[in-house]
Amino acid sequence: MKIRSVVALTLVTLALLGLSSMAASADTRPLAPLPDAEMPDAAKVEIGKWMFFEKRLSGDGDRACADCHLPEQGWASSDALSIGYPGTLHYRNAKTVMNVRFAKYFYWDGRLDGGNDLATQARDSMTDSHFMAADGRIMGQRMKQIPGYVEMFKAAYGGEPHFGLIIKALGDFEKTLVSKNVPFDNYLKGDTSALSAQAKQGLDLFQGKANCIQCHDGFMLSDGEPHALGVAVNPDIFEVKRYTTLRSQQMFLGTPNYRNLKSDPGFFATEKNNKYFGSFVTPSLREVSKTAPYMHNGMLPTLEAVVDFYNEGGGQATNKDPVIAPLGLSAGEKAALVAFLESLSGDDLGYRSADFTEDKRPPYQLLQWVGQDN
Amino acid sequence: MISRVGGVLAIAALALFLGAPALAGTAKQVIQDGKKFFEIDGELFPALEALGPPPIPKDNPQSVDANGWPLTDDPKVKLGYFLFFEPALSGDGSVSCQTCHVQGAGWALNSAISRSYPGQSHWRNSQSVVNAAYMSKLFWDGHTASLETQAPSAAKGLAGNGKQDMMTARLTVVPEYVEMFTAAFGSANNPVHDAWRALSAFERTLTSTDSPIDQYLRGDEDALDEAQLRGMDLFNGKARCIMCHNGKLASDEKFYNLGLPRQPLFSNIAKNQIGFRSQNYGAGLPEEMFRKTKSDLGLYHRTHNHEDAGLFRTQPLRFIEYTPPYYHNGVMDDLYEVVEFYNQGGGEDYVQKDFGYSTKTDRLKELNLTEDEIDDLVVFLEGFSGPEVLMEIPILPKPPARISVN
Ligand code: HEC
Ligand code: HEC
Ligand code: HEC
Ligand code: HEC
Repeated sequence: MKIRSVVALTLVTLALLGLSSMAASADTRPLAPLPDAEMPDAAKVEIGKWMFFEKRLSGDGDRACADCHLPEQGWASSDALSIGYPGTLHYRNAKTVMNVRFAKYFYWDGRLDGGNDLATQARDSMTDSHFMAADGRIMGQRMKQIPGYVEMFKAAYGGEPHFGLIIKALGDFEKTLVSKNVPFDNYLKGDTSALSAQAKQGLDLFQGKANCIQCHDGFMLSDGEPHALGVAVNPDIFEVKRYTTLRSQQMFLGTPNYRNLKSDPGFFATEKNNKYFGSFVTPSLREVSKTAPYMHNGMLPTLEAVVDFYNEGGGQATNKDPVIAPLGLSAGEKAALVAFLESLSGDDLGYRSADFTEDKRPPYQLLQWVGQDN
Repeated sequence: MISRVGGVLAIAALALFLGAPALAGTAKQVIQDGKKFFEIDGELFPALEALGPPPIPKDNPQSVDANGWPLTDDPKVKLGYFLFFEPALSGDGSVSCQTCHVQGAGWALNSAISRSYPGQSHWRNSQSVVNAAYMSKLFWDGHTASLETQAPSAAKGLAGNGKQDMMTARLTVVPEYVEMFTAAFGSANNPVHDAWRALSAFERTLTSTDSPIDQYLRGDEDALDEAQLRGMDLFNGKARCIMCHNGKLASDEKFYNLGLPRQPLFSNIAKNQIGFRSQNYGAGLPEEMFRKTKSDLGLYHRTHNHEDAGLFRTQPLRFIEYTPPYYHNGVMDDLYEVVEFYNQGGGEDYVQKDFGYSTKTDRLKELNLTEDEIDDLVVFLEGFSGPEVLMEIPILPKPPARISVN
């Protein structure tokens, strides 16, 4: 797997022509800008936005999607391990929901098919005991008692809110969370000044000496496949409230020996074959500069730490992906790789959690009954 | 209180003066096959009886003494005692059975409509779990048949919002619970399923069978005073209570619509409306009905038969002194209100108001009870309650801060 210094220079043309990969291996797909995607109806997106920030969509009324996927933190969370539903904590890092409409599988362990079905994913998030622990029927009634929302639902869907519409609206909102004005994409589209020289060098390394393209390929910079890298176990997963979530979820997934897990089994829970133990689906690298800390368990605090990790040949694991090997990068090369990773983030979409605090959300109100007076 | 005593004395004096036997009784007693009944409107109703030990199901055995009373040192009961106070058996780990079945409030809740888990409200009054062990139909609408099947709906649904896997995980990280489950059930492999069984075994020790009325029915003639005996006679006759509150349980475990007043909370408070409406929605009420329903439809939720709308299980009456407010929607605060209500022949049927047909029972009639009679009936009802059932609050075993696996 040799470095190809010409890659960066010819990439633009090749990408535009849709030619096959110039990357190290024949079965990787070329890096490419995000495709244009159809945006859902604006009225539906507007509802979905309010739903995304709506704490009353959780059992206790105390968790919104946006509590764990914060717009200020790259729509992920700066906690290494995520919070959970009140009374619980999570054992994984919260993934970003940016560009999630393009994901092949959802979650670090890929346990749910992606393919644009964001409503199904939202149903999971709302009902799982460690996320929002919501009863869909009750959530429908709660939204019906918020006239401000009822009007919006009527305008967008011609009917009152119910669980099915709530999750659809959430999905529609997420579909609009697509990176905008990304330097790397602009570069690929022909604006050669969009990347610094250092970032261009990083791009070369990414596709060459550092061999990242093996797994981080295509326009999402992800092959959507599981790999074990040997990221160290985060000792905090043994905190009782995190470990109970791990145990509870792995029990639900039918993972063998779920009561005695010493580490996160990852994709093994999805495909119960030992070779997958501790492997995770390659995450997209889009917006990655905004979503520190990194990896499924937030063990690597910065992009520099991630690059160091790869440079040293990853961590310890018997089933470590053979592609992961010491890279021998110089300090300058490491910095270049980081500069490239930083070019994968677009503009701030402008949402702020402060715009959706309780005083700004429409309140519950009494409903008039049919035959109110008898 | 003072006026009541006055009334009692006056009547006693009158009875003496007339030379009539003070306890003759007007209720029409019938003995058939050696069993005692009271006859009202030509129908026979089983007389009240003292309460013996609760039935114990074959598939969830527990140890009992020579007379069949459940023993509290059974490992299952001990475990159930801890679990009854254990908030791990809920969604957010903040709600235990004891949260809504408070021992200082008769193992019920002193609130018209029960609380729910945080962020949500319930829609019915919390029932006492004391003597629940005797019931073959649990809940106000009788929708479960055993404590073993009742417990999961208490921990998981509108009450606790607990999820099976999370509750399992929470129990299995506590070494003391693993030991207790192993002692009670041989293993801790299925702790949530076994938790319901342990809770049920514990609830079978929460009995109140020593009320003055029980003592009287067991032969202690001094257990009830004269006013109470007059009240009993009314209960069995003129006041017609025995038609439904009869036999051992003081409940026929059948369902009636009494025409109770509406619970205004469902029209006045948005959060209560949400609790109420989500239950109606969850029960699959047809759209038209859903929109018109302003009061709990009770048994209809279970059967979807129109003639069951607004029907509720006859409540057993033991221990009621400790469990106000009364009825499924907690609309009455004390036993005087209750008796006044029956005295008027019950109330206006809200099913009639909402849907244009009535399901109200025809057993309720204007009773024409005098004020003295009302007093007598109330003191008799008070005789259904023995001493409070109180116990030490357990110090719950806690999981270690960090889990170590080997
Ligand atoms: C209590 C924190 C929390 C809440 C609330 C929450 N999430 Fe998440 N979310 C996470 C965590 C942690 C993950 C990663 C879990 C895993 O991989 O197993 C995740 C993963 C996701 C993913 C998968 C992303 C990917 O690329 O695979 C999506 C999509 C998502 N969440 C959307 C939502 C939506 C929509 C809501 C609200 C309905 C929501 N989340 C509520 C913490 C949360
Ligand atoms: C063998 C496949 C493979 C190769 C090669 C690879 N990665 Fe990864 N990458 C992954 C997987 C899988 C993860 C998630 C691992 C985990 O969470 O345990 C990941 C995670 C990351 C993350 C963290 C993303 C986040 O949101 O937390 C970054 C950044 C990253 N890789 C960059 C790189 C760079 C730079 C290279 C080249 C030096 C590289 N990767 C090479 C598979 C690979
Ligand atoms: C949030 C409040 C709440 C919690 C927590 C709760 N309950 Fe209840 N309980 C109620 C209410 C309200 C009712 C009546 C519900 C109905 O009829 O629909 C009830 C009814 C019952 C009954 C039926 C009694 C009868 O006479 O039929 C039993 C038994 C019971 N609960 C046991 C439990 C147990 C065991 C737990 C813990 C696992 C528990 N409850 C937790 C509120 C609660
Ligand atoms: C037609 C059958 C019937 C008759 C007759 C009847 N009851 Fe009831 N009783 C019920 C039913 C059914 C309930 C529960 C109703 C509900 O909550 O909707 C009840 C509830 C009660 C309660 C409330 C208990 C609690 O825990 O909330 C009391 C007290 C009571 N009855 C006393 C009496 C007295 C005293 C009489 C005679 C004056 C009487 N009942 C006559 C059927 C009857």
